[in-house]
Amino acid sequence: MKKNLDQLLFLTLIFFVQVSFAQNATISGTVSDSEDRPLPGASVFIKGTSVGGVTDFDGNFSFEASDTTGKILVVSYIGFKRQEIALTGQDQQLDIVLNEDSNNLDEVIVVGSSVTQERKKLGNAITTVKSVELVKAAPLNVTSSLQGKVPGAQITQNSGDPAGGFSIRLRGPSTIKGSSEPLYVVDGVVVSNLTTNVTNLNVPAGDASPGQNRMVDINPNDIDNINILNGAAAAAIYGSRASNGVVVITTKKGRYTEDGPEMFFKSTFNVNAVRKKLDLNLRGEEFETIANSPLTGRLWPIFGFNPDTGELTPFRYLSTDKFSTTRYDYQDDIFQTGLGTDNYFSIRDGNEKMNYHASIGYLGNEGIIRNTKYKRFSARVNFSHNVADWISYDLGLYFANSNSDEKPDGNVFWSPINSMNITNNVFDISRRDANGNLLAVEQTRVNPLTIIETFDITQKVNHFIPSLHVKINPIENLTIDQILGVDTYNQKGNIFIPVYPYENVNPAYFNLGYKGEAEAKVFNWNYDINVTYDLDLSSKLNSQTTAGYSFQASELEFDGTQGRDLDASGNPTVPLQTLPIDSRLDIFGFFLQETLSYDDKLFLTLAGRVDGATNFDEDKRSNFYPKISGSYLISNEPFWSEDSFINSARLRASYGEAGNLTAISPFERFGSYTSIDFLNDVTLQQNNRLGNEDLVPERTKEFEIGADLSFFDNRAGLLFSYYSQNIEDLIVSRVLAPSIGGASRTENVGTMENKGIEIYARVTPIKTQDLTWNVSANFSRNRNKVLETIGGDITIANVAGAPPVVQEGQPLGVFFGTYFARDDNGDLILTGPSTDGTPVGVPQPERGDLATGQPQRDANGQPTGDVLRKVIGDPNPDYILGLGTDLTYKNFSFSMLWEAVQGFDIFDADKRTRQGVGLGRLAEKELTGELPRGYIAGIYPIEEFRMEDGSFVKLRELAFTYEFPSLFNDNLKNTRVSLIGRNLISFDNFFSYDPETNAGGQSNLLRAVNFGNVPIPMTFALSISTNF
Amino acid sequence: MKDIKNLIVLGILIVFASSCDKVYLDPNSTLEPDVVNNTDNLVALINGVQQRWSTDRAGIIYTSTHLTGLNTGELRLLNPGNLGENEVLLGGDDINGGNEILNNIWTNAMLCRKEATTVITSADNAADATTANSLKAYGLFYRALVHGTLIQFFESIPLEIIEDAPFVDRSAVLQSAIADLTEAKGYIQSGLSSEITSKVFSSVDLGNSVDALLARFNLMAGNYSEAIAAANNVDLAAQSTWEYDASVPNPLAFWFGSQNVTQARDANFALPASLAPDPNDERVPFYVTQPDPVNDPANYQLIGFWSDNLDEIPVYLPGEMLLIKAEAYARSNDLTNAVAELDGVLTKTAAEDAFGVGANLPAYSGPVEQQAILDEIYRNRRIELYLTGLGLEDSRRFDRPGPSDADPERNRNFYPYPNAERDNNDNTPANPSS
Repeated sequence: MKKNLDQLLFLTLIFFVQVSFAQNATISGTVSDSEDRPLPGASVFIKGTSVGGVTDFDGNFSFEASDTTGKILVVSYIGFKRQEIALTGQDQQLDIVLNEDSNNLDEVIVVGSSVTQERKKLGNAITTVKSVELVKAAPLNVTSSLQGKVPGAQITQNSGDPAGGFSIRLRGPSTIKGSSEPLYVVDGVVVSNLTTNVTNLNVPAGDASPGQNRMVDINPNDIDNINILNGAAAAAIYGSRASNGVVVITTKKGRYTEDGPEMFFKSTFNVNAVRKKLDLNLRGEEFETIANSPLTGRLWPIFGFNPDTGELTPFRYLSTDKFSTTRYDYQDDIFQTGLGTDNYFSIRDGNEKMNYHASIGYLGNEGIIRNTKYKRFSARVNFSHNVADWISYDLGLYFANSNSDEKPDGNVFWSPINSMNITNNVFDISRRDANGNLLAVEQTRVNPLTIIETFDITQKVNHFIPSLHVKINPIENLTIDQILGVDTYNQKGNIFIPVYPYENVNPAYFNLGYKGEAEAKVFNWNYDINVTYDLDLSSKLNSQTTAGYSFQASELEFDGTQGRDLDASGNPTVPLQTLPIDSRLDIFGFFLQETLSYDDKLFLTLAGRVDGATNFDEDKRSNFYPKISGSYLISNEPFWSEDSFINSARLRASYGEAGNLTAISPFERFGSYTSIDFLNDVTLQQNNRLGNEDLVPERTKEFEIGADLSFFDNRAGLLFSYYSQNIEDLIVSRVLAPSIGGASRTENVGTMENKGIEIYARVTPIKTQDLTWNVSANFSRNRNKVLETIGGDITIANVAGAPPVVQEGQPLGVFFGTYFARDDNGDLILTGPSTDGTPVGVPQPERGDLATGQPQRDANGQPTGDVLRKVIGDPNPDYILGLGTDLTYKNFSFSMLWEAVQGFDIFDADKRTRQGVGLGRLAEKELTGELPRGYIAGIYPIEEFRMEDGSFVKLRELAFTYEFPSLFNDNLKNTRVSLIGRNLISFDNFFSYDPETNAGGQSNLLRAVNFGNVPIPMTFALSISTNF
Repeated sequence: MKDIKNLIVLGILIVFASSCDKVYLDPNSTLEPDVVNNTDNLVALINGVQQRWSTDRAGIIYTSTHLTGLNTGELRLLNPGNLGENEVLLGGDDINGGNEILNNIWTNAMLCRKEATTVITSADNAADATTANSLKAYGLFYRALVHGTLIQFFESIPLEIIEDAPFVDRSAVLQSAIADLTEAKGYIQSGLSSEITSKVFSSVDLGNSVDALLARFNLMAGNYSEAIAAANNVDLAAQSTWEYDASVPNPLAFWFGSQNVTQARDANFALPASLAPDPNDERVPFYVTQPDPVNDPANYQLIGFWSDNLDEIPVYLPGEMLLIKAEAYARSNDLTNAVAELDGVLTKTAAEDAFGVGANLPAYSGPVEQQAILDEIYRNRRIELYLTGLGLEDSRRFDRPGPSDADPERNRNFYPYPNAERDNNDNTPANPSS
């Protein structure tokens, strides 16, 4: 396979050098809008070929083509109606005026590796976000640039670390076992957005997968547009790897320029700050625990002291005697105002035959946690060459190098925020001994400043993404597109925790120091070939047939060394084993697609795919997936009045099936034994998970129906979609009765559904020569439900104490836990008189009959029986609303984007932690008497206490821009100065920092958990850009 | 030019014709056939069972010690944020099938049993009978250890490794464990292959441990003469231990040392005032340090076999054999011999004990009556066998006050079955009421 490909590539390359040029006509001209403004970047191509070009900054184009007689020139530009012009065979100078098309029905969009289609032919809604929208608020990260702009997408920044990861869900979760993250494709190259964490070897995070994800390496300034394919049906071209949807990124290309290279420079200065600080307990007193002991006060909200036995008693015999102390706010010691710059330079040029776009970028950004920083250097070259009228190619090279200075980010109690959360704030953490060493805080805990000042955690990444795209027209109407892409990176992490200069640190926090390094080497490549035959069967009926093959190979090698208990020279004396990973996965697929177009109003697409992947058994891996979709452009019917207030109307519907080939890891189907180092030997242990070679890929069946309408001279547009998705043969890690000799087995035993609607609306209330006002809104709502699993609830391992489960009849990952005992009126039932020292008059967990789940009351009306659990929260939002507005007055423009994520719950682990150790604001209320003594001990075992409403409305982006059309004798054009804000305001009722958080990172199951991770900063930026 | 086009099209067709039937295997793990057909891998699996049993917070040493220690009052809890331990400490209806420690002990014991059974059933693939029998001896020892240990915490357990395995009552479970040990003893007596014994971790003295477990389980089953006979076969000078290294530490030492989970409750060894340890009992300072009476009066700290991450934990203590004999004699109403064996424990000095556990007290001087002697045996079991995980069984066998009695000395008799088993095995019996 690989060898064949190499040969082909070699052949293809060799031929470029020796081709000769045929007899040519020159086609040139300008493209402008109805108000005579030039349209730069409009594409001008001969129909059915790759011959043509793109207009330059002034809307000019020019290219040569052989024998143009009778051929059709297609002129298109995003947001405008496509035009077709018959060519004469002679040199031609054309002045083309395009009319606006608010729903972009004529826009040609990339729906597959190299497959493009006009939007009007598609049966699915596809959202396109253009460069100007993406970089309006000077984002540092591609994913953040999409927040609030895409209907059907829940985009969460998992952490406020300067390289913090994001997770995207398109139309809800699509799997249980695997990842629900979409497939990312950059210029035809499948690019990994995985989290391979090389800086938490020493963190047992359960199902959590926190850390950077590799889209962080992509410079958003390079992007021309992003298409988001939400559903399985839309993804027919990408096949089964795309069952979670696809994010198709197209980077900027070179183009024909009349007068030399166009250069662009942009510089942004960022200021990052904590948006909200917590209100902590600063009251200078606390309750006694052990009278007359220096340790008194430790865990005072939950610990008592039994005077009879002389022992500490959790939750019982809480003392009401107080003593004075001094309290501190450690937030000032761990947070900083982070500064950053983002500089970007690009150049592009081209003639009729060749063009290029090249760029370099440098980003340096400090986090809001002291001593955290992210630096990224990136360079990109895109080169295009029309070798002959039948062959052209694009070569892309992207390189990024990034360096991070990190601190542990959640999931451990020795992260900066958690070390604060779990320390009673009565210690002056800045005190030092004579040698300048920091002093101990509370027994077993870590001084937060030790982490800030002495933990050394770094990460280095080299990321390289080359691609080659060859387009051939061997005969008329036949195009063959081939893409070969590589996505490879090397990620190195180093972790150094010095020996703490004080005693009594919990050994689980590596009290005697720790040193580890890990390296992940990833090599992914993909090859795609698509052959399209376009044929006019009659004057009204057109057939477009595409056949394609795609192959993707992924290879991950991960290994590391680590040890604890450092010697004087900082080397570990106790080695710790790292389990290496060496995984390989190949995914392949064939497809055949037929699109029939009738009279530019009726479109029907039929497609079938066979997909397979090596993580399934040879006999189970290849499966067939059909797709059908239709589109009816009803406004193109003759009976449609030109004068109707509805300018265009389209109805669309689609049904498609896709497999999920990545729900299991490459070797998951095998039962196996793991080697472990022990006593200078190697032992074998059977995996707790038993093998199952009968696994088949999950199958997603999705139906979608929708409409695209535009009104009032195209001043308003409305897109609506309804979808219903059923995921069958859902792969579940089924819990087993341990007596069978295993704890779990991966089985095809589940079913899950997603149903929802997506609405996108835009309106331009004002449009005059000087003033334009646009408003756009997108709304999406998804209802997810796990219909079937076998073997009881699946509990999800995590270290945050959160109780998420997979439970039949509930959305994925609901929190299932203990809850407050309440009476018929919904009021809390407080504890009654006690004989065993338990607090009186405080909340308590509900109790009752485990078998029926019904609460029970004793003679005094108090809860009795077993502690009951129920669903206490849902991490899936009810709806997401994005609302944006742009106002342009002469050279001044203003834009604003709000995003509301409403109706989801967060398990706020930190909320309880702070109360239990005494620095929380409820602990303060227990001191003041506003809450009864023992309140925190009462709520402590009740998981519902930690559930918080996560609903928020955030001001995602705010930008004021002034543009100087011409400066310095027209040496600088379109110079823009912008004042920008990101995430400045959040309306929420969240108890801790920020409801937009995921301690579980990209984990599919562990969502909406807050466990000591960094809050998302608010950012102010000043950005200057210019063309010259 | 035309040829070039054709060549390219041809090249594309070649790519199309390639298909994908590759099978990738994980270079970092071993598949079943490579284990069951390979003696070295079966030995590595035996060592893996030892590791699974004796190490880690989810292993059986940690979990059985904590189920007993927090239930009967040997341990105190330092931080109720350790929810599993907190539920065990509270006991009663505060602990249910969702408890982490119950799930850990059940799952890991069942996995040890499965691995031991794999060794037993695959042993015959070995080249010769001696090798096969040597492998079986180890497998049988661990299978018996699993069954005899789990039955101290649960009323009944499944013996078969099948879907919906039926639960078997206590006497049948003990009988099965004794049968396994008897079979293992037969192989040991016929001589084990040094090829196997030299590769199995050497800290567990298999011969003596098999006899010690025979004594322990026969006593539990009420087979007193068999218990005495087995205990007599144990070489009291031998040391049989669970061993640790720096990377995989003694789990009790590690977590006691964290000062964030559990520690010694006091120096009373969970005994009521009437049976409080003799102030001169030298085993007390062997196991527990006295707190600073002024600054930190409740802070008793564990030492014994858990003060350092490399400390070895005995598989059984020599004192247990003496106490088994004393109890078996006492329950058989042979009080003279009972007192003689009891005195062996009471008068033992640290120097005389293989592990340095010595009371160094005067001989028994109480009434030579069955109940009084049994009470003294109970007191000595609690002290001598502190934190060995045998305390819950002892508390029941000696009829100490249970959860519903006045002044209870334990908060549960038996534990509810873990949810993982209940939800997936239709034969799981009702939970015990206490």
